[in-house]
Amino acid sequence: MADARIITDEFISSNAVNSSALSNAKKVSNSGGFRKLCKSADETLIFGDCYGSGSKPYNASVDFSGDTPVFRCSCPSRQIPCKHCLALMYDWTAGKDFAVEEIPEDIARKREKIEKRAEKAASGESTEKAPSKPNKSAAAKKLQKQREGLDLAGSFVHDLLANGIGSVNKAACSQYSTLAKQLGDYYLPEPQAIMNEIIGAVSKLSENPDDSEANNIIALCVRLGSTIKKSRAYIDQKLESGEVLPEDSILYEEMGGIWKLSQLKELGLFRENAEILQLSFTRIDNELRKEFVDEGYWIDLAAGDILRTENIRPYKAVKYIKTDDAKFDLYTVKELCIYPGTINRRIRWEEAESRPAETKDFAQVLSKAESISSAVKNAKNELKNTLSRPYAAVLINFDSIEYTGDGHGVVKCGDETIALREFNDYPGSCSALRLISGVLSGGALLGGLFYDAQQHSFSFSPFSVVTENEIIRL
Amino acid sequence: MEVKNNVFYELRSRLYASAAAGCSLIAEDFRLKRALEAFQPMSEANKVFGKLYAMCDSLVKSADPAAEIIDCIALADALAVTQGSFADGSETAPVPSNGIAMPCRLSYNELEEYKEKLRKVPYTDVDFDKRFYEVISDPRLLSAFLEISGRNSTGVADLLVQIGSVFGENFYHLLFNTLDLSDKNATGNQIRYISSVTRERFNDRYREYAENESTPEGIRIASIEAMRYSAANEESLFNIYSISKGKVKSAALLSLAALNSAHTETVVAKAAAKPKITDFDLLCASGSKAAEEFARSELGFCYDNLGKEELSTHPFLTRRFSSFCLLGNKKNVNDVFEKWAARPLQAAQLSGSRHEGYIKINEPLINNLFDYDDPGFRDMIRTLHSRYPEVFAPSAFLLALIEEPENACSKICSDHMAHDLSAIHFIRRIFSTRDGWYRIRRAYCTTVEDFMNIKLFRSVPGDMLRFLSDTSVIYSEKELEKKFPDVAERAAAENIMKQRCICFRDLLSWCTDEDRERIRTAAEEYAWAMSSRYPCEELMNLLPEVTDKPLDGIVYSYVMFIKDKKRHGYLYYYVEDNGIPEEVIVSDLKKVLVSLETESPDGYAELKTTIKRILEKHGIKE
Repeated sequence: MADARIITDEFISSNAVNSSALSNAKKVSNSGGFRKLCKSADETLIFGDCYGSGSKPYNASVDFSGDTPVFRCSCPSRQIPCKHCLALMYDWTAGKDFAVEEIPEDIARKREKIEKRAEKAASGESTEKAPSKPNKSAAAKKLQKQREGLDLAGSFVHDLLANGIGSVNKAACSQYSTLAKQLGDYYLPEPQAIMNEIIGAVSKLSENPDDSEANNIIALCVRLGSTIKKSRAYIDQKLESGEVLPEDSILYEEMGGIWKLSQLKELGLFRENAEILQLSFTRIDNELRKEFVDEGYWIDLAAGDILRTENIRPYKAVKYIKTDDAKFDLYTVKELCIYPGTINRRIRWEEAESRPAETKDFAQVLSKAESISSAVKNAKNELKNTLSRPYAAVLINFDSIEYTGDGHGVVKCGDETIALREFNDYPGSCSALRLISGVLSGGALLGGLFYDAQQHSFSFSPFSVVTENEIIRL
Repeated sequence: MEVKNNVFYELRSRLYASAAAGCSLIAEDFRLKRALEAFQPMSEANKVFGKLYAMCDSLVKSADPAAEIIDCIALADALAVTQGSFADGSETAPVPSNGIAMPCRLSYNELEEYKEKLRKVPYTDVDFDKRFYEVISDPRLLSAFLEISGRNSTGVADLLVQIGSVFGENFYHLLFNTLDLSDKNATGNQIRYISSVTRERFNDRYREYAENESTPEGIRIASIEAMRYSAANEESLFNIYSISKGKVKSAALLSLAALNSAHTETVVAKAAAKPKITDFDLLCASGSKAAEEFARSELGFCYDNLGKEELSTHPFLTRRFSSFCLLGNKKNVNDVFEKWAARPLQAAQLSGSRHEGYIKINEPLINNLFDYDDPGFRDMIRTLHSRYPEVFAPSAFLLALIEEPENACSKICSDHMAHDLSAIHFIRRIFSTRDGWYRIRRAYCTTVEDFMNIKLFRSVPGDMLRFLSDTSVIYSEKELEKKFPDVAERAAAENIMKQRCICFRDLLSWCTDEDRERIRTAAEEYAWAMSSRYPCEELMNLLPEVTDKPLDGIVYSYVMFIKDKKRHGYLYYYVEDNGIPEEVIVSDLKKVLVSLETESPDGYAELKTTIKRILEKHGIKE
């Protein structure tokens, strides 16, 4: 059983929902917000009373008696842990005096309940609900509804391409926005998001006409059109065959379906005891979709493929969804669930153990890096699909990174070369790489391979550098 | 390959253009048709190209092209990706190691927090913690910093000085190598910073930028300014001056003047003969005979006409200029200084207050210490100070700080009233850098126009702490009235007490960790002595910051001290935001109310209301 002694600043940051919760907690702690600081005799519980905006003090506690710490507070915040629990832990790490007191009655009762549940589980009486059987008729109904929605979205794309993007005035934009809203009723969040993206881009374009932006809009229309076409075929085939449940296809997600881990496991989309190491991490602010995405690229040390974690936090719910952060340890995942797709497949997991990454792990990563040409070949296969992401994250070998007279970088590996380019999701990565390029004597680069339609060529945006001893994030 | 594929790329771009324009009239799109015709031979050579041709052919004939164009573009895109090349055959060269960038383990949240601070630096005051200077070598942070390093902001200027002190020599090379010569708006502030620290060491780089006309103007001007540190640049500067116009020409002239170049003699003589406001900097910078004579006559004119009508309309006596600055970079002007020093009130009349007057007359002497590494200027201060110790105490104090910091205060501040303010004035300009050195700036903060500072010491001298914590300067109000019947002198004595409090707070904000406890102890001693005799606002800010002792009674003393001074408006600020415990505030304010009621039941209405409001905020109602 753990106790409060495991609390460190890292522990607090890793449990905080976001950085503003942390800074608010620091303010509470620094201003002496807790009037009463207590701990249980065995230090498995710390608790205290904190004065907030309410008339009564909030009772915050952190309980280490179970497998995972439990944060409790009587404040109205929906964040768990709230700033008061975090402040309580900051007070603990600051070495403030915690008086030994009896465990409060309500917490003792809650502990009892948890213990009973654990005992039941140990004796074989499952406390978890049996997995609900998939409701086929509901799934079929949903598919039919989606089919209707696709027709609506199809008419939007058709209108736009028939009349041209120049024909979309403010009134048309607002009509299309209403249409896009309706798509929400048809369980099609992803096409809805693309539609919103198109409408947003078109209304911006009418203010500042620009050829390349017009091409981007057409590319989005093509993407939406292809999604609609492929999804229609997918739904028709499913309805015809009667196999209405999700299958190993990217179309399910492309229509906006959200995979449950149990569904992925049922389809066999998981790896056991996978060892994965994060190679890069960034936070993307997608204004058009009104969401933050915490995106990490990982490598499966055994398989060598580059996988992706995504923690999507819509603006509306950003306060309540925990932010993800860079991970430096090596994770051994009991069951690593993998989404359908070809490269950079999304992964999720429930349980994992971690240990600090070692030299042998970095060597293993390096052994999985490929040549530039091979990476480009694989990326071509992925990027030629209209439904693919705009780039493919790949791990390539390099001997050196050199710079041209105009200042752009070139990755060199044997006879092969590829130009470096900056990518908005990793701002400043090229400049950061340039600063360390002088000390790099080979290794591997993780980055995105992009196809540049203007130049008719591929370029590479660096995300991180892997050397024999470390991973350098850019 | 590229040439061969041109017809394909043309077709693809025509498809995009047709889609963007609307394809209802695609049958009449002659450009698309022409592109399709050109593509036809290519389509025969390859099956997939053939398919694209067939699809496009059907598209232009279709009754519903909008339905078909998506497939055509999708296929064209897929083909374009497949055709994409990746090799970059440009000529390249490796970038040598800069010896600074060193990856650090930073969580994304930490990294973003620091990057956000760096983004804000050019616009607002930002505090960087100790860890920032440990992790600034991380390439992600370093590149974020380099991106803003040329911005016009005091915050950025200060960061350059701080980060420069961490990295030293390598940093200068890095700044040079990351100068963006393609940015027409580049300021060249990085060069101003480098030259302020290294003077002529990078003269070759300065000349390279200055002589190249295609260098962005900001960088070129900064380089020309930096060339003033080496006499070897005289010909080059004169050449730039001769062939340039505008700001570049002016910068070259000023640098030549600072070098006392013979090339500037005619221009300076001309400026001296018919002075214009635009010539002021030139006449200040020049050490030529003509400039010297002009300074002598100008200040003589001021001296003779003080208080007269002529002076108010004289070009160099507007608020923008200090005529004393005309004495900068000139060695044979002791007579002018002495003439003014003999009647120090004259200097005061030019400036406003006596202390300010002293500072103004010392300004050229002080500037000489920062700008010219010339022992002649140091001797000049020594001579003047030996004759007029009171007037030249400011420059003598700075010189003493530079030459013998461990005795500077006891050496110069023998008489409190005359010299304390000057000393405190300079002590407040001291700051510490991350390399553990204390340095002094010309002004209270580093700016992009003035990065100049002088290295002083690694530990705050005991002599300075003794001077600042000298309790013999503390008087109660009654004692002040008795000892200083003259109002101006009394105000100066009060100011000396208060300035010490401010100075201690400044010291604590920039001192090194090693010195903090010593300074805190000295400040605490001084603050408690003040609290019993002169509990002013400055003390209210200082005392809670430096003491662990109970503060009971401090609020009471303060309110009773200000009750007749009409400064109630600030009561809340000085009582509430200073870290004084709530219980002290509440109990002291209650006592104050009782005392005020007893003293004057109907008086102090405004003060009583303010106190009641504060008490209400703490949940105390009548």
